[in-house]
Amino acid sequence: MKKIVIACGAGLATSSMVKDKVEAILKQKGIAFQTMQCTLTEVDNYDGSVDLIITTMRVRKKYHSPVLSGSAYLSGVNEDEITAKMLEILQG
Amino acid sequence: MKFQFVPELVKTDLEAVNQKEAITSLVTLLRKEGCVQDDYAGLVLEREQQYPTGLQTKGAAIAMPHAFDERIKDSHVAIGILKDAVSFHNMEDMEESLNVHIIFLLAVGQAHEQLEMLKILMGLFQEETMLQKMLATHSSQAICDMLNGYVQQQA
Repeated sequence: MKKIVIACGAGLATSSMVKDKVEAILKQKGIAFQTMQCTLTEVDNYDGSVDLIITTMRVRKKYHSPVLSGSAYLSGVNEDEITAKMLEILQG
Repeated sequence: MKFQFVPELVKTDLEAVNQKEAITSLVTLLRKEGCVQDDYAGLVLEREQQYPTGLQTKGAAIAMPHAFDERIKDSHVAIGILKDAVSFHNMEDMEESLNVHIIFLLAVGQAHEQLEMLKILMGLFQEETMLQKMLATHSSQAICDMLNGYVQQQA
């Protein structure tokens, strides 16, 4: 079971959009997962105990868990690249 | 109830000198329809400073300003197509500015149960030609017809 945290400013709008997309991809790839949605400031509560952190904006802070920027799922720009990186982190 | 775009919440040829004016004018539309309270513009502007929402899509540079307000019941979106672009900071990189042509001002009620509108918008952001057509359309009704047609296709 892969644990993934998806965060945005308020843990409300953009993270919901990205979460929906990420879950669809993982289901399609047959990867068992659990997603958590939160605000950027709440990421600290999960850091280190999850397999991946996806944020809708680029964060400069360093985390222990791998971090990806998920805005590509909103814009459609470089989406395949982010998916490839995500799968590499989760399956690697 | 299925989500639908309504012409009362779409403003074409929106004239604004900056993001504050653009956001204020779109919040006025939402207020008239009873979707948000008077102070929503202030909440959105404040949040935009902290967590910018500019996004470069393939079709156009857009922004989706919004704020959390527990008084909001349902989910709504007011759309502004700007006569001249206004600057928003990029969601992906706060230090970068984008000249935004279309603003989707969101008012999201408990989002976890109301993902429908957000999903529709996310799909729309990736429709390159649809966004470009929005830029070239000058009637609110025509834009709603086009967008609602798109929503039906997805269903």
